[in-house]
Amino acid sequence: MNIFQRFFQGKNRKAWAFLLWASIGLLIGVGAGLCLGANPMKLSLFLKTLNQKNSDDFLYRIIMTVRLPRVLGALLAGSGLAVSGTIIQSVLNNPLASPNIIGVNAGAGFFVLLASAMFPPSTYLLPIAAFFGSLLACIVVLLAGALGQMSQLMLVLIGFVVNSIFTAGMNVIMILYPDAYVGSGNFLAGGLSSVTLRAIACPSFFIILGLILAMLCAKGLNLLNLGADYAKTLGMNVTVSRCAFLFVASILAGAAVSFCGLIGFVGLLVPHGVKLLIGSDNRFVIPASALTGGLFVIVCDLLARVIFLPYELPVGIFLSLIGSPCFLYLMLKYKRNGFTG
Amino acid sequence: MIQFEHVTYSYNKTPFIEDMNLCFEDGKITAVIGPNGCGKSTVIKLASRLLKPHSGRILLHGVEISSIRRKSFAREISVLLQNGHIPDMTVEQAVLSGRYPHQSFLKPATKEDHLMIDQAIDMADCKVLREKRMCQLSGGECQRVFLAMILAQDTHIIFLDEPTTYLDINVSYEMMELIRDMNQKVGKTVIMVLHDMNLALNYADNIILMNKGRIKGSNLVTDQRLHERIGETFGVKIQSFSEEDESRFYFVKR
Repeated sequence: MNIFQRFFQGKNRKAWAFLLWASIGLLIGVGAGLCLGANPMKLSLFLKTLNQKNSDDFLYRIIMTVRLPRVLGALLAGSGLAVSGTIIQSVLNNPLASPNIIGVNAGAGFFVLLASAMFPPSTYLLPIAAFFGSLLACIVVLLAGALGQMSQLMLVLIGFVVNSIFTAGMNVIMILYPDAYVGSGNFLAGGLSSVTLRAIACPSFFIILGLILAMLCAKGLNLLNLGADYAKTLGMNVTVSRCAFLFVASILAGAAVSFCGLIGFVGLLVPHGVKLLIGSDNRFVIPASALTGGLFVIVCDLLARVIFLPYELPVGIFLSLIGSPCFLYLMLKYKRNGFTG
Repeated sequence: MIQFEHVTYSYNKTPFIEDMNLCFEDGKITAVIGPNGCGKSTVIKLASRLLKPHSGRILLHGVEISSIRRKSFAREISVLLQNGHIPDMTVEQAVLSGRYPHQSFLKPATKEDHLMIDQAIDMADCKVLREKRMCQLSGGECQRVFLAMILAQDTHIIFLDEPTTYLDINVSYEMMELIRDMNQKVGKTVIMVLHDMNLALNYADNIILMNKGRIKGSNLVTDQRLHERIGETFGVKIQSFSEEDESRFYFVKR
């Protein structure tokens, strides 16, 4: 049996087909993201410009310094957050969970504010603060959760507590150092307008690493889907596994948040849509979420750039504008199918 | 063979199960019965390592179960749990999960795995459900799928925690027939907690009667003294008649 027959006639043909279409969509999305913008160009011109590699060429400079970083940033942030959300939803068995629930946003926000209150502004300060802030918040949630055997309710409640503590901390800083917000407000709102290739170099390493680790988690996540007790009787160390899975999720979300700011919504929405379309086998849901999440953020970022030319909206606004109706639609559809989670 | 030696367990400060000694025989169907809250399910959870005894030892073939590696243990003992959680997956995926303890970390399912799940699905009579999603099934169908899953797990010993809860009476009987088949045709050791004593007395070989965290009796199902104890515990009288050379039991109020 040749490989194509195996892929497209087996039981998982829907999932394989989805992966194929999502990959094609992503390629088109990347192309569109690079060609279109305030200064749109045809594909032929784009390829010609790229071929010449003339660094004095105005268009070439636009592509390399503005569009490429944005598209790459959108791709990385989208796939990182979507896969992070997939993992967290599976581990908590809670369809409404998103990276925010394990403290990613609050931790990042608090440390970004703290850093801009304490230190003079510099390019790398805020991303680093965001990454370590989100990671720290996640680790606090995980440690506290481990004391409670990582039970699902426990994790959600601890996440809530950690979120409130960091949010309170943010308010304290804003009152004591009103200037801090001026330096970091843009960052907190979330957006890709100031992304540079250098700024995404380090996060991209973490996100690629996280995506690979996430694929290794897929089988375990499927088993957790049976419920913690069945996972235990089938020989899984549930506490340790949950901890490991959430750690992978926090690396992904932390790295994404470090350069695109707080746009956690992707992590809630994309996994849902994907599961609705191809079922819940995480071996497919994880790569499909990565592709779809990347595509979704690239498209939203493109729209944010071009719709109100010459003005530009933060991508977060478009994520909500497009995402929310989609999410509502999915929720209603789930309800019709007897969805009770 | 599973043995409890001086096992103590408590959910809060006061001991619930104290100094329990108990033995489940190989190759038999053992039913654990008793009134609500007597500790039946706790016994199964202790024996399947879902709970840890506070003191005492639980032995599987003479080896303390807490010293066995997780996956090896899962190749020895499988459990049908009493839980309302319906996983979001297809029937085939669920049954395939039963192969987890036999698989290594990254290797995809082997031919043997697929053979085992085919057999398990056949045996648990789930063929028509195979492509369906778990959330589309009725309670009885769901239980059958989980039964197929633990059959695919391919263990000698099977624990069943209230396998007939929520099931209609005819479905309960089908379930019991299936369990008896597993015992007689494939030689599985079955240990089940049952609330329905009719089913317990008519399908088990051995009965363990519990009350308030203590073993009140442990004997062959035909034993007369056991019948008296059951009668005392529940305030009923056991009548028997024979049908096709087999003793059958039913209960009347005392």
